[in-house]
Amino acid sequence: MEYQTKEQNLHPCYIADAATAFETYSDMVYRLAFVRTGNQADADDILSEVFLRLVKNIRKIQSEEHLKSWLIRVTINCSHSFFAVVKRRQESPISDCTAAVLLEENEVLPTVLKLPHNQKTIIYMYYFEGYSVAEIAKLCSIPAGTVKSRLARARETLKKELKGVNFDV
Amino acid sequence: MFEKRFKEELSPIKPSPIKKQEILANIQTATTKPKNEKEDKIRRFPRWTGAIAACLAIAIICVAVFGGIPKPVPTKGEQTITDTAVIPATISYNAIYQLFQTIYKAQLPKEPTLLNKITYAIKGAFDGTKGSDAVVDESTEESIDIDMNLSGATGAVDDGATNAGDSAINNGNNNTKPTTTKPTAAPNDTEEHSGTNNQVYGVEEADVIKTDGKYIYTMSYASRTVNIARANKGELTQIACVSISDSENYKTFPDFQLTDLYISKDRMVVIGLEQNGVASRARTITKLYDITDRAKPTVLEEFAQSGYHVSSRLTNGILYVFSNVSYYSEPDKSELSTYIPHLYDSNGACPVEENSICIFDGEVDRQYMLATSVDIDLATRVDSVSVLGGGDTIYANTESIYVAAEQCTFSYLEQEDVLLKKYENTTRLIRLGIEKGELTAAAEGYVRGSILNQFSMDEYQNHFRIVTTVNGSISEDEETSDSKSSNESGEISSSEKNNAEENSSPLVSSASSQNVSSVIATMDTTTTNALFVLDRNLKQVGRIINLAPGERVYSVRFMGDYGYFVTFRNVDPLFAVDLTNPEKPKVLSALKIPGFSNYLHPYGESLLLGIGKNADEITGRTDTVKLSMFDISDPTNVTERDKTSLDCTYTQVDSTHKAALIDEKHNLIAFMGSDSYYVYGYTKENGFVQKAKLQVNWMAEYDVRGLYIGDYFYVCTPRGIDSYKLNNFEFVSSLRFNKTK
Repeated sequence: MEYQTKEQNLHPCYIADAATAFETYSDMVYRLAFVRTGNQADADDILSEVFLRLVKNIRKIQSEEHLKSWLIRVTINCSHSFFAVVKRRQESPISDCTAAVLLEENEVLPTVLKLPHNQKTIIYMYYFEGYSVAEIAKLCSIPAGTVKSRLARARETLKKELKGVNFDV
Repeated sequence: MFEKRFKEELSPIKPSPIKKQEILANIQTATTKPKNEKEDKIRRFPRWTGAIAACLAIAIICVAVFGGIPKPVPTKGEQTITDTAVIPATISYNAIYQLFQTIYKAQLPKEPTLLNKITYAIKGAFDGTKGSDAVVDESTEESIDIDMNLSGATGAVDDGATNAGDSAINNGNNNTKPTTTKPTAAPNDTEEHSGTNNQVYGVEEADVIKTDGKYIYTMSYASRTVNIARANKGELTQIACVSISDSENYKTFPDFQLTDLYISKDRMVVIGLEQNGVASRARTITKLYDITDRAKPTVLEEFAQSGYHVSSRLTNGILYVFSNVSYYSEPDKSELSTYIPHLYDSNGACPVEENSICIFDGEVDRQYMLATSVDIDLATRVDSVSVLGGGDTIYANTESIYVAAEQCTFSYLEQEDVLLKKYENTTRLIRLGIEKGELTAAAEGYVRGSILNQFSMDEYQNHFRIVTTVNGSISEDEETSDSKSSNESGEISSSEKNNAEENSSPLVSSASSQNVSSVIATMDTTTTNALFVLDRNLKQVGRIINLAPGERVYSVRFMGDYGYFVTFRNVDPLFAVDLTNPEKPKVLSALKIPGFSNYLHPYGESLLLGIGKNADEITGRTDTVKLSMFDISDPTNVTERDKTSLDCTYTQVDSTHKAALIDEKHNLIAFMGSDSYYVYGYTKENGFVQKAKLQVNWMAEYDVRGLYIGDYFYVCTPRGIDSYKLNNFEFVSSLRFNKTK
């Protein structure tokens, strides 16, 4: 790695490797993309795109933590163009078998997927990835207050909807 | 438990092994390929079946045009007109306690029952003329009487702090409280300089980096400091490094985050968030400094309020701070702090006054939007208002503040023998009047749909305009404002039924209630977009609905008599709307171009700048950053006059409008891209010209701002500042902040 910044000179050299990163984080990127777009086909595409962008920008990654946050941000950016609220195709309403299976057997996931984009992203990061509010605020570049407010709204909606499910706040 | 179920259900969602192999192979190929910086195309994948043909035609809807060339006007405050408004009702402590207690109990898990409707309806107003009102929870078929009358007996009033977490702030780090001197004018030797990219003229918004033409003030989230540097013709000197969280109080609360910074003459305001573990104990802290001596800023006063910081504004010397506080645990009647927000200052803690709490009509969340005002010259708090029901986005001009709260509600509709679950997103609105810091809840209303951000709202000539994306369509005869009308009868109006048949593909979702004999399915709906015009009472006077089905709003800009907004799925229509007649807003044109803009900014005479992305026409997949210049001299024929693509795929303008420095006079369109700071200029003859692509030296991911002072340009990050000559962007010098100073 020839490219060094002043900052990097002060830290032990961190060399990120895209293939290793893929092994470690592909599931996380995929799930975040799935939560945001609601379907696995789009999640597949976003997964490819994110890691190809990583290859292009690999030298900028300074640490493991930076890598993770970079991946999350790029996944969120990529998924903007994939928002599919409507079934676009003319074929049968449920063309994706997995989606049908998911929705029949699952209790909370379909409801989460129906939340507004900002809220469900935060639900995913908070409950699945286990990030704290402060960490989410930093990752998404929004004030912690916004994170907390969206989290609160999402919980309220989920609590009302998932009456059978015990929801502790 | 939700978390457990959520993890269980989401864990199986993974990329297939075949897909993983394919991507890994691509990664390995790409890694070994020699890099060519000019080719920055994102690969396309052929997966997309059922491709949507994008229409590149320019669709113009010819309608009557208001004569003359529309000039982009900065929105200025208008004369206040007194009128009869629906004022949100005020509510007593006791009533709030009972309400929260009821909702808390109703939320506890119980036996599933046949669900017709899930709503908490608080019927009637609280103006004292109505008797006791009932809260009905239909799912349990109980009815609880709550005396909402203000004159009813109130619970024990808590005068002081009752919990450890509510201890008063003391000015522990000051030896003597400095006398509040009147701030002097801005330093005399300031030059012309840029400022924060505020939405409304005269209303300052917070940012992480500020300048007053002589000094540059930089707030660092990570190190919780504000650095003050002197900028003198490109030469930079660090003057001070103020550690915000150094005082006694903050040693015990390490989780203190800085969010907002303001500089006004000799005053500096820093707003931050202090988290104490429990949601209801979070506080938004406002620290007011005297910076007459820039090398030694001193704390003048500290204020705090319950809740998580949402936003703030500084108008005419008054600072408005908004926070959101929720109370989801079981309330304790004798402990006000379990259900009433509190205010803190050097005198201690006290609950917000009863008559300053108002409540949205209809269903409410157990959260408050708390708005406070502080006179920064006098260093005193002026007023506070709390809205029960919350709020997450603020639009402010010099006379009013509009608070928008997004709500997602469910209702059930019977269609033959199927129970359809319908999701509806709405935005509730409250208008607060502001007069020298006095806050009054002046009106309430609501519209269908969700807003994108503060730019989705605007007030002009006593009318409030708002653009939303609606989760569904709106039938022509549907009331979309006034008090919330829920679908009582369960019947679907005929147009909705048609929509349901055309657009819905009911998916069988799991029945959460076992006793339901009919199937509960989710009605799938197409998004549409709408523009509403409301009067000062937040009553709807005009609207355009069901625009651009299947798309959502990506950017909005209101400019006086005209409004522009962009929706997108694969192709971006830029809609131009004539708002000269508030009762009859009209779409004048819809320019369809590939890609989209996610930020719109008026630029010079009859031009509109768009910062956004390119996107593939067929698949809609986004690509590189794009700048567009639209000619809006004739709103019935808006054209994309010029455009250019950048060699990056992301800009900080995606996250916040404050990241954009747009200055026609100096011909600057500047912002941070994926890894460089870009400066563009624009002329009608030559279109967009890249003036500079500046390396940002300290790899700052967040908060990069460009500004100019006199003939020099400064690129600022929380770690340091680089300076350049404004005419040719020749590098001048660098300053890296020292924490120890």
